[in-house]
Order: sequence, then C-alpha cells, then structure tokens
Amino acid sequence: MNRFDDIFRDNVEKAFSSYNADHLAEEGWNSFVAGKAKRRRRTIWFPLWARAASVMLVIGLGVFIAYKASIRHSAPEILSGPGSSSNLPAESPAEDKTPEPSSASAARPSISGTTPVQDKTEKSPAWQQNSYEEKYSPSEFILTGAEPLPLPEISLDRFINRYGSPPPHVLAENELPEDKIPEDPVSAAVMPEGFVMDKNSSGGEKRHGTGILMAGVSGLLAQSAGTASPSSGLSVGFYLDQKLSGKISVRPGLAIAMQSFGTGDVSSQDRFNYTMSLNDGTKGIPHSSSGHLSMLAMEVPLNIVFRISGKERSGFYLSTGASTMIYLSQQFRAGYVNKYTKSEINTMTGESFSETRYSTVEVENNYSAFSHTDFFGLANLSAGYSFAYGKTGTMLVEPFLQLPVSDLTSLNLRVRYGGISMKLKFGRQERDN
Amino acid sequence: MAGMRKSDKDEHTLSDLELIRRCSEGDPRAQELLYKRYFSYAMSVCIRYTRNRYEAMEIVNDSFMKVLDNIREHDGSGSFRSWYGRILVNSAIDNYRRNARHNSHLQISEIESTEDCEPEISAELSANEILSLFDLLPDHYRVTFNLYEIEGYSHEEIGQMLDISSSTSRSNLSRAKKMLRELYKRNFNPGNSSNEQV
Repeated sequence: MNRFDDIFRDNVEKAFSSYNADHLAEEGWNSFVAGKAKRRRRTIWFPLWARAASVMLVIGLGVFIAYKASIRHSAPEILSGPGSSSNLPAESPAEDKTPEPSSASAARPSISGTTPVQDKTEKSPAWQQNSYEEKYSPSEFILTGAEPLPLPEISLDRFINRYGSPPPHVLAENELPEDKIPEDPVSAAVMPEGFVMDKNSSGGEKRHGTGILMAGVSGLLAQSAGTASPSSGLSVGFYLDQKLSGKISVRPGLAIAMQSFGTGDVSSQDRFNYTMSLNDGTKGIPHSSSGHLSMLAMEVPLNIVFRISGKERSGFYLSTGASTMIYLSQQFRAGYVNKYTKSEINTMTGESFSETRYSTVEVENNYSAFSHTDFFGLANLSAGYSFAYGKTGTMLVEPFLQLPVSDLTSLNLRVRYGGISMKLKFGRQERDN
Repeated sequence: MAGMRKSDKDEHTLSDLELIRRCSEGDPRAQELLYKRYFSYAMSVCIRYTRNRYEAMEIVNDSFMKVLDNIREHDGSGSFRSWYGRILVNSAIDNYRRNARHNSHLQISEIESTEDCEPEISAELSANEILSLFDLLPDHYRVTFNLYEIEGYSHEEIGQMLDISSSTSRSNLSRAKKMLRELYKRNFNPGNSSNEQV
C-alpha cells in the first residue's frame, strides 16, 4: 500500500473522529421534527398498502361491473333453457284444456273474441300431445319483441263458461294493460299463454343499465413541454361501456401504457441542477440538458361518451373525462452540460485571460413501482366512429388527445399525449357507441 | 430558575441506556437529547457520503427515525454508537442508491490520464479539506473508499451493499485512491500555483 494512502486514511479517521457539528444540531432537530410530522401525515393519507388497495379496488370494481353486465345479458338465455318448473302450477290439467291461471298476479288471459290468433300447434304437433310441463316449459315463454307468443283460440263464451262471468274489459288482440306489464323477465316467463308482451316492455329500459366489455390498443405520441419532437408509445387495455341513457354512457377502463419521451431542456430548473466544481474549484453553471423518460404506467380512465349520430352499431361519438396514472416503472436518463468559465491573471506579466470549458454530467434515476400516482392528472378528449365488425362485434376508431391537468410523473413534467385508439366491443348491444 | 438549570444539567448527564429507555417510552425530550448527543457523530459519518451538509442532515434524520422505530430492538448489550453507526451507513448507502448517479466523464478521464506519482502529505488535513477532495470524487468512488477504508467493510460486503461485484469494488477503490492522490497534488501541492485565480 502507498504511504500516501495510509497517511490519508489516518487523516480522515482523525479529522472525522473529532468532527464537530453541534452548531447545526438545533437546526437538524427542528428539521427532524418537521419531517416526522410530515411523514406521519403522509403515512395517514397514502401508505403503500392504501395505494395498492386502491388499485385493487379499481380492478375489482371493474370486474364486478363486468360481471353484473354479463349477468344481465345472459338472463334471457337462462330462461330459454330447460329450466326449473317450480313456478308452474302444481296441478296438471287435461291435455286439451287451457291451463288454469296459477295466481291472479301471474295469469290474466288475453282474450280475443273475434280473431283467432295464429296457433303454433299446426307447426308443432307436440304442443298438443305432450304433457303440461313440456307444453308450458319456460322455453315456451320467451318474450321477445320480434315474435309474439302463440295464443290459443279462446272465445268469449268459453271464457264465461270457465270463469262464470265476462271479463271486465275485453282487450284487443295482443293488447296488454300497462299496469299489468311484468317488470322483469322472470315474472314474464311464468305468464301463461295468451299474453303477449308489448315490444317495448321486453327490457328496453334495462338496456340503459347494461355494460359491455371492450378491448383496445392505442398508439400514442407523448410530448413534454419544451421538447421539439414527440416520442411514441403504446397502450393496451380493457374498457367497460356502461349505458346511462340512449345517448350517454360512462366508460371506465384499465390500461397499461408504455411511454417514452424527451424531457427537453430543463437545466434552468433548480431541481435539475447537477453542476459540479472543477478540480481547481471553479464553479459551473447549467448550460443545457437533454433527458429521456421511459415509463410503464397503469392508466385508469373514466370517460363519458356522448353519441352524436348514427344508428345501431355505427355512428359518431364524442368522449371526455380524466385519467389517473399509476406509475409502475419510471426510468429517467439525462445528460447535463455545465459551463465553466475561469478568469485568470498572470501575476508575472499582468495579462488576464478567460477560459471556458464544458463538462457533461450523466444522470440516471430509477423510480420504483407505485412511487408516484397522478390522480385524474390527465384530461381526455376524443372523437370516434364505430362500425360493425363481423356478426356481433363493433370496432371503434378513436383519435384522442390527453392534456395535463397537473404536473405528471415523479419529475413533475407537463406531458401531453395524442394518438389513435382502436377498440373492439365484445358481444352485442342494440345501440353502440 | 435554579431548579430548571439543575434539571437541564441532570438531563444532559443521563446515560445512553436511560435515554434509550425513555425514548422507547415515547418521551420527546429524551429523543431530542439523544438526537443532539449523537448529532456530530452522525454528521461525521453522513457528510462523507454526500456532497453537502443538508443532504447529510437528511440522512441523519432518516437514520434517527429508524432508530426510534426500532429502539426496542436495542437491548443495551452493545454500544448504541456502533448500532447507530451501522444504521447511518446503511441509510447513506440507501440514499446513494436512490439518488441520481453523477458521472463526470470529462473529469475522470482528465484526471486518470495524468501520471501516477505519489505526493507527500506535509501536514494534517482538516475535515473540510478532506471533504473538498471527496467532493471531487465520483459518488461510487467516494462511497467505496469510505466503506472500505473507514468503515472497514470487505469488498464482498461492499459488492452486496452496492449491488456490484467484489472485483468492481476493488477497481473502484484503486481508482478512488489514484484520483485522491492526483487531486491532493493539484489542490494542496504548492508547486503549481503561479496563476492566481480571480
């Protein structure tokens, strides 16, 4: 080992064993107390588990809404299958007789005194020959707007013979009093033959509450304030389109976005000051910088969609809302050029001269997952067009713009995004956006 | 008044164990006394790993927070100073790993290209003079030098702490020493001072 190294190490040990910073102790204690209080507040509001829980809550909520939506969609399918006959009357009437109503609320025969309704028995002989349960199994009571139930021929005389008195009000063919329209498909399913649901009563209102799942991919350009050219990125996610009314729906989502963009010249900002002294003590000043931020973020958008024109599965729409960005990874790399100007006087000749030098400092910061979250930090604006894709699918093409509401990322940058999104709706919906 | 002075004097003569016991009970006055009692020591450790006293003070505060959080684990069998010292060094390393890694290629290449001749240390260096030299070292050199030469960690331990190989640690130490020799020669050797800086 060099003698210099030994002596230098001894010097360090000696100098710092007697290091006195007591004059800073009071200042240090005050800053410790202030930091402790701040940390306690921060712990209350945003501990790590709370951040993780909020993410799980958003995902769980999305799954729950999707589940509820799928249940609503599949309700008619359940009724159309060979379901339970628990709602059917216990007694088994004769094959050639019209079944007795099981209860007053469920059975109010519709009567046509003059015009017989087309009977399916001609097409299906089993209708008359099978047992009651088979004849009136739930599969026969599917109520759709397109096809009315097969109605048996019931004359007024026959009604009087059966019930002892004429009906208080004779309804026209396929007419049903408004107050007797069943409110849900289940009660409609146990309604005996003779009833025809009005087309509008077969769940039209419920369609407003249904949601439909979408998958989307977006190509985007990100640009930070001060940079000349934007950089590209990609976003993949799932969205749920939840109808609020015929024209308006709300569309929450969950997407993973990979973005990478230049941060521009931030050397004028104090927090990006990485000047170092030269060997001779000359102080530097920031001259220029160029940085690059690559990140992986979880985006939780919440948008409201306004349908403006079109019909069925095609049409134009506008969308607006906000996105919360949860950063899973942020990698910041930057190069800072510092300028050093040294003015000297030669004591021998009296001449003065100055020398300017430049030094580059490279900085790399890696921020951990969930280290930063921008709650509703981006305002979303988009306009799109939807069109039929295949038999049941709907494709949405949607140019979008995202503007910063507040400073974004751990570097507090003002980043704006623009791009185009393509979404594919799963399943079918009467009116698509 | 006299009673208050006597009380203050009593507080300052409390043993470490007594202060630690009161700290573990959440006594804020004991916490303040313990903080101030070891403040200079804590700063002497942290200032060697940082570039300025404010950054060092932040590490001291982080470390003392860890001390208070884990003070029940200190059973009093060992020295509080050495236990606190380990926490300080670990916090300084955490800070080093968390923060930006500065790397001035110009300065390193410039210094390393010069001839390696051993300078003479004519007088004892003060803490500030040593810090002015440390300030010119790249962070990873400075940290390696301190961990190995001052704290006494092995290269294997340093490798684990800094997430580098032990050979890299050796290399860093060698380069750090070489740079320190050169920096000392440039800044403290009276030979090349014909030009006076304005």
